[in-house]
Amino acid sequence: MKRPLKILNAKELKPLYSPVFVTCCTLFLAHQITQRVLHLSIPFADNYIDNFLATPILLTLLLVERRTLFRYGRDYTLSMPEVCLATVFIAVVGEILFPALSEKFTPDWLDVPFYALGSVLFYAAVNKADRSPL
Amino acid sequence: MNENLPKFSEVLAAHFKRLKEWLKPDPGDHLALSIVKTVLKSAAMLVLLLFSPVLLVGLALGFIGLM
Repeated sequence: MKRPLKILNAKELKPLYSPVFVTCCTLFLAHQITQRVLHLSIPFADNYIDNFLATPILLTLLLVERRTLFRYGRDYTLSMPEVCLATVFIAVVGEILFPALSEKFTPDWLDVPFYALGSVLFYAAVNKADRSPL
Repeated sequence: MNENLPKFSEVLAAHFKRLKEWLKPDPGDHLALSIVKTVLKSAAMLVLLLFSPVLLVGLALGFIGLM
């Protein structure tokens, strides 16, 4: 008899409901709407907010992926080296690979501190083991 | 053939479990062995990150969306 595949456990999806993740997604969507639909220009936000929000969003999804698909459980958290490595990977892709593939992307090394700040936010606010009773 | 698949996956899972146990730091390990274990763990971490479906899809969506 086949074992039922328990992928979606609400407890393991908890990081998706964290205020930081929800706020980051909302801000990201709001910025996309103001920039692309309303054509409003907010220079500082246009330059750096996507970079700042990319890491907490992607790292939270990575954490949920590890907890559900890899079945590491709800106690699992990303280690500091993993967070650093993921941040470097995202920064390299965003600042080297994307500009190499498309002229619409411009490399700006000032974006890197914003990726790092987003990762610090994720590490401090989202990356926590769930020790609540089942 | 399908009947053999679960067995193969079980064997593979058992091997991975043994490898995971072996990779755990042991105070009795020689320095060279602990270096090998650290390098293997780092490589595994790198592969898991680089080929993470969530990261790849997220970055691909970012590339398509921001283009």
